[in-house]
Amino acid sequence: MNSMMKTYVVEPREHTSVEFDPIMLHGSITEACLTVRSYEGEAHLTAQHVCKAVIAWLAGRTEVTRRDIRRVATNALTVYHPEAAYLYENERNII
Amino acid sequence: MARNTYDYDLIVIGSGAGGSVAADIVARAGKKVAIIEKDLLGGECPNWGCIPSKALLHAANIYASTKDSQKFGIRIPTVSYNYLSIRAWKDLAIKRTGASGSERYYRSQDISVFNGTAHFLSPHEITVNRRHLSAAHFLIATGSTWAMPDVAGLGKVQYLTARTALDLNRPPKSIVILGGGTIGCEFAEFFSVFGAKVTILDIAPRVLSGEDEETSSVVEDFLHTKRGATIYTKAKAISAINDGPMIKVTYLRGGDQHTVKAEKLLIATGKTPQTDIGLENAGVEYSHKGIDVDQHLQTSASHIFAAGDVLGTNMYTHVGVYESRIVANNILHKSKATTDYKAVPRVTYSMPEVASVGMTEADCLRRDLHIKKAVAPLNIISRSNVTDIRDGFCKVITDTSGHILGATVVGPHAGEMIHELTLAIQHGLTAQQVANTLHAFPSWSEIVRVACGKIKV
Repeated sequence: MNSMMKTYVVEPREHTSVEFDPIMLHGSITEACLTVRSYEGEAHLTAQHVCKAVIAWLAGRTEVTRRDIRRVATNALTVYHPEAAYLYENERNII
Repeated sequence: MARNTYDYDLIVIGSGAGGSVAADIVARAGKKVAIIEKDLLGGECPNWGCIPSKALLHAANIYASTKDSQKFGIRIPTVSYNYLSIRAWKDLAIKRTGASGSERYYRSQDISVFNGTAHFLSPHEITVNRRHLSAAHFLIATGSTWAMPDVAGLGKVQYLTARTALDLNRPPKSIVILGGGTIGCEFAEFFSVFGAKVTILDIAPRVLSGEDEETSSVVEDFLHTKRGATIYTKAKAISAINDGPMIKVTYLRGGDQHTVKAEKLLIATGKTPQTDIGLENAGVEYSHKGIDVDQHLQTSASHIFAAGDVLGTNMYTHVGVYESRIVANNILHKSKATTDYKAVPRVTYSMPEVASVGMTEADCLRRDLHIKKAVAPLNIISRSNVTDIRDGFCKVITDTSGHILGATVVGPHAGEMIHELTLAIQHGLTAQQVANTLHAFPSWSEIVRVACGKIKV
């Protein structure tokens, strides 16, 4: 039942929340992987694994922050692609 | 105290020993308090920890001593048990703690109770079931969960934890216990009394490896000779698979690979603090070992406190209660109380009971302390003679001037006797002062007097 529960991503400063969108996360991870010159297929596969880990972590949680998603996704991505994980974690600072 | 913008003066996350005491004290001082619990109110100790396990061990001890009563001239033709009734006794013990009815109590104290998982959104705000709550202060008392060892295939077998092992419908015919610590030894004692073939696999060189070596040898010897348990130390479990109705556990020992089959597998490899509550959003520093706090139990975010198992140091109910009181004081008063862990009693309710306080001999060696020590075997005192209980001892460690640094008691009621030595350590008494105190004859406590009397300064 917990896995069916919707999770919302909260922006505490703006007091807004949006439903967690795994497609968006998949896109960000794929993008990070492609930026560090992963093959497209590998990037999608990695993103799939990361999304799976994040969704598992979200089970039972109704609200989290963007920062939480980024942290958990980074931890999962580090296992598969440390360079992409670094980029994903620091993209705001780098770009 | 709180700025008007906050919903509460204090939000306590976790209603166990580390949380409930502070919530109660702060609420009694007229502050607005909320408590959040994701599982059963009361937390681990009354629901699936100390209380149920000790209720079961009590039944096991009665069963074992009744079976052993023939030598005293007592004839009981058949001694048997009804396991479901033993479980019912355990459930009664849980019910009598009143933990399940504590919601009504909290409400009578004007403490708001929320059932759900708390998650920090910002330093002063948490979310529970999509409800946002803010507070001037927080107390994190989320406790700990069972640490899962790195054993291949563990996810595919139906293993037991110390929580699920309490609710079996019958004792298993055989069981492998991973971990020979306090929980492992207590369950080994419990299941072996009811006829289970127990095998303990422990990666450490001895069971109860946090205690003095003498303790381990007495407990190992008792479990092996009196209970028929098999103990493999320096054994690392590497895989677990289903083998028909059994579970086959493969382990490495002495460079060789061995297997052991059993009906059940119990994981008792320790506990790990529950810190996954969005602490990053609150600016609270932590590691896999637990939340970092100072001597006032303040975290890196000064308005957030932590107490109990989540600190990852002394995972005992009595320490949780002690820390919770300190947090309540530090929230309410300007004069800050500090923690003092020099005399924390530790008890393993195995047979024989093991209790210790302060430093072990290994702790003293690590600190390069010059010590004096004395060990008195249990069988030299009269109470041992009249009860025919021979296994056990009292060990006292002092500094060179005779001040007690640590002590261990192994034997019946060790968990009660240790408090005399706890008091001595807490208040800086010497072994001679304890030895010169009158101890009733014939009592188990005489062993403490004898051991202290052996220390010569």
